[in-house]
Amino acid sequence: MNIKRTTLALATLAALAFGAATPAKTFRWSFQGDLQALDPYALNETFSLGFLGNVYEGLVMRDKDLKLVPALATSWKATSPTTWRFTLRQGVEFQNGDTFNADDVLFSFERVRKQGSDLPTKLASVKSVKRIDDYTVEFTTSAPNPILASDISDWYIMDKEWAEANGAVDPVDVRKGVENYATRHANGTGPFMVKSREADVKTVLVPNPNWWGKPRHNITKAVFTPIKSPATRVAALLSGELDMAYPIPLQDAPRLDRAPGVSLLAGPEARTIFLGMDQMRDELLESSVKGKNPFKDRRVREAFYRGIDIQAIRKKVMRSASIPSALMVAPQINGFDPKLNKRPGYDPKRARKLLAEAGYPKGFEVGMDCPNNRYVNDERICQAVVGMLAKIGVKVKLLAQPKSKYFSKVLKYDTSFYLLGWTPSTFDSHNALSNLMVCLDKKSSKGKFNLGGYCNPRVDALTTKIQSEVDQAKRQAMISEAFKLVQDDWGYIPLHQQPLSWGKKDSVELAQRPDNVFDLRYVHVK
Amino acid sequence: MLAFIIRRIVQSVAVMLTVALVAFVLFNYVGDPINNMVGQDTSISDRAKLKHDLGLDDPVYVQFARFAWRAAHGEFGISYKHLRPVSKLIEERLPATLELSFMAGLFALVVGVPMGVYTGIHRDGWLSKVFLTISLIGISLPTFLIGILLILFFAVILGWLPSFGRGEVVHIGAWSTGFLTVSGWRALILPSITLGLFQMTLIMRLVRS
Repeated sequence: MNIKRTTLALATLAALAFGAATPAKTFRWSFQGDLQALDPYALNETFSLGFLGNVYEGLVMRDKDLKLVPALATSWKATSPTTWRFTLRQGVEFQNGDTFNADDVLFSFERVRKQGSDLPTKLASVKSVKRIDDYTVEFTTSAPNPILASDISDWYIMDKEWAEANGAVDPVDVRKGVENYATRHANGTGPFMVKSREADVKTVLVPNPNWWGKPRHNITKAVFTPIKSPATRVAALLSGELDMAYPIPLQDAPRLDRAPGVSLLAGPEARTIFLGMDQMRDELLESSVKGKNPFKDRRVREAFYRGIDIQAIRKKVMRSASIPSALMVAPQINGFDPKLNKRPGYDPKRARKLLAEAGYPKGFEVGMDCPNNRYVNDERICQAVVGMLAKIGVKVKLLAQPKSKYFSKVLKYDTSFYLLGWTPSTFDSHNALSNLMVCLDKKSSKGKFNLGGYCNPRVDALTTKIQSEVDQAKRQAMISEAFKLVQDDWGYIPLHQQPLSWGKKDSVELAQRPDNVFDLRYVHVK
Repeated sequence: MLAFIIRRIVQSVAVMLTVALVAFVLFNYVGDPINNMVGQDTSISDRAKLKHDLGLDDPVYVQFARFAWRAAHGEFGISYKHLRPVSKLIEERLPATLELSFMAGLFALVVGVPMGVYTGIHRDGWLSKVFLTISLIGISLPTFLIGILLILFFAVILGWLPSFGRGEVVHIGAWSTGFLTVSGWRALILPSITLGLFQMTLIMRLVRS
């Protein structure tokens, strides 16, 4: 490290001596995992798409507060309930010099829906894309979709000529077992280019000199290293080898506070953590109650809600970094209603009374599923919940597992009581309603992540209407009504908005997006 | 003599197959690979289709037979995670693995043998007692803990050595070596000690006795 610094200092002096102007600003950062591939359609995952958002761009993008702003499209408007017209930006070049125009948009639309792509759902509402002229395209949706622009904010546009010349016209299909040029090479329109890539080792980005925008950052080289072990990642940040590292385990927060020159950014994430209950079976899979399902009685659900002391969880488990929530979506999500975000208070006495009224004066036993490496302090939250429910007479048998085992169990709907987290990928409430709160239909994938089968037909009816309502005010009213129905049913127990946890050097300025995406555009190295 | 060699070869193949079978079966119980390959928006029917197309809903012994047959032909297929051929991935990581193992082994020998000789000759000297205490630590502490302690002490507190990575590597043909750069050597020190410590203490005690 010292030798690198000395060499860098000498090089800078030499450059200055020869009249060169800009000093080199290398930015080094690390995350717990790596990209799977450089192909932007390979995996629908926040980290991969966020990283590639520095190299590739879509028609629209999100700024540091998650607001939708123009990217490759300068403006867009609905020309009819089922058509959207996008005006494309002119004078944009891909990193290899090819011009960006409507043909690339059409090509990308075809490619993202081919087998092997993991992002077809982002364009699921779009029936066709028509080329009006070189710089205008028209999307036709099968039904009115008022949030089309939100759906496509991380669908990146690829270069038709480059893909055809390099055999990357189809995304990699794991079934065929053949590698693809786009897996290890990138050609986007974004502010950075991939200089080198070694999977699981290091990826180096350099600024794109032909980018259409004006850079706000001052990076000359960005080096990304995935470091799986949280201890090593924190050590690398503390020793000065990294400028930024995430996620930082919450228990290391005091260490970062004490260490000079580094600090912890713990802003809210647009992810809501909640508890769900099996309300569809006639008898729970994992419970001491035989012949009936206690969770089908709303008094039992309310008792569980009231038995959880969310402020204690916030202070003791989350080190005051979480934001308790009464809604299943965070404030950054379109459709969030602050009037509905008042949490019914912690009341263990009332909880015991409700359980007795429902016929369980001595409580009962139930099994709980929890991941232990997916959400911030997930296992500790579950353990706190177990302790709190014990106080109202419910004995919870906790099964905390790594996420690969946890998801493989609960996605088979093999659970009675579980903890889950959700960020709507479109940052719009409809995504949360349709994935978590509509009645589960295994054949059509409706309510796919409604693992407990909560079902209220009125919520379903509202969700269908919300999907195609173009009047914003009417749409918000329906969203609020749907959320209130779920709350009145005690259908779920929302817990909190979890905190992000990024560690950074004090000499670096950056923006922390609530979706945990790290955008190099805002980085300033002093 | 020939019979002996043939018997040994057959035994090795049997051991390899058994180990492969156990590892393979274990992986069936660590979760659903499909879930790691697709995002949260992928529909249930698409997941089921992918599972079927990849042959992951066949019985375990069918999957293992398919895997073993292909592996015997050197076809390791494509990585679900990286979407690249597994053989290429192994090839890329081989230089780092081999260099590190070599250095760890060298450390164990070069430090273990002289220490063993010294403690053998001066059985009651105070330096011998120090070496024996170190060997006790090397045997009792788990490797991952030694690694973390070394990182904490030498990288974070003292800042003398890097806490991760290989340093700058030089590519010679298909091989990437860390032996030709100063940062490469510095990056090898702590990992080699971590890996070689256990071996070193064993060698030392053996040589001593």
